[in-house]
Amino acid sequence: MALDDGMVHEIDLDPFLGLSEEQFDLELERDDPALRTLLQAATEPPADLADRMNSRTQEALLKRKIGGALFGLATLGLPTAKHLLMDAPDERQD
Amino acid sequence: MTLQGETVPPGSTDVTAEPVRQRATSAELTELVEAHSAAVYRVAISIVRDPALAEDVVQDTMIRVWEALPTFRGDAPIKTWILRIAHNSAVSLLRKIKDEAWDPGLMPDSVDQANVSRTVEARSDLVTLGDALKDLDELSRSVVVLREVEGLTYDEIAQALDITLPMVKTRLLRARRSLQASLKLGGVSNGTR
Repeated sequence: MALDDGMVHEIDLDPFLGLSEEQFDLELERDDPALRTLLQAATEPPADLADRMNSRTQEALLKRKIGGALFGLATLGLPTAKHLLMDAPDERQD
Repeated sequence: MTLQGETVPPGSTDVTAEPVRQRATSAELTELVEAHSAAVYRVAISIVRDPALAEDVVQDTMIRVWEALPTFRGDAPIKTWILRIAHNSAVSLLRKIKDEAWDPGLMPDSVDQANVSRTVEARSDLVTLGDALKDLDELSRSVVVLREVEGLTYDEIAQALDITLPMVKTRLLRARRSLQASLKLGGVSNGTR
């Protein structure tokens, strides 16, 4: 169910969901620890996420930098650079 | 965090002026990733519902953030700026793959690695929640995760997702109701209310 289509939907026309503003605010401020715990668990990142993402991001940025440099050289018509560009590792293989 | 929203003067011809991004070090990138990758992952997994895809979103977000950092004006906290990029990246990826059928088994496997047993009673609860999340629109998924898990204020969520404050509140309450109803139907005990 995707509502993000730029159109106005019922949800946006009835901002208090059939409640009075006071009732709405009260319900909004109610805490539901069980739901929060489940949501936290369901979206828990792997323990080594930051380490792996750091390596992946550094590597991807380096590849971009190298690719950009080689492309720049290739556009100058340097055959060696063209050769290197063709042999450059493909990011999609990651 | 030492990273600032500096900009290079347009048309600068001073060849000795080192570009901002080159001044930033890999250590600063590491700092950025360590500080924000978990929050980005939570938003991403709630939208794409696949751990591997969520990690792709994290990487894509970090690259976009890093490359756009010199243009970051600092109008909003950097976290909300990053989460907006993460939400957009996840939605974009999801649309790209045409929202292929999700295997509910993926989410619990990922969660098991994080010792979920400490926080939930049964794996089936997570499957129920995963199904319930799937029934929400993408925007509502981000709203509920940013509020319930990341603890952002309503204003911060509005900034991060570029929506109005009333829309944040309406989406949040509606999403909570929907999730609570699904969990009740699935037999998951509700917490203290």
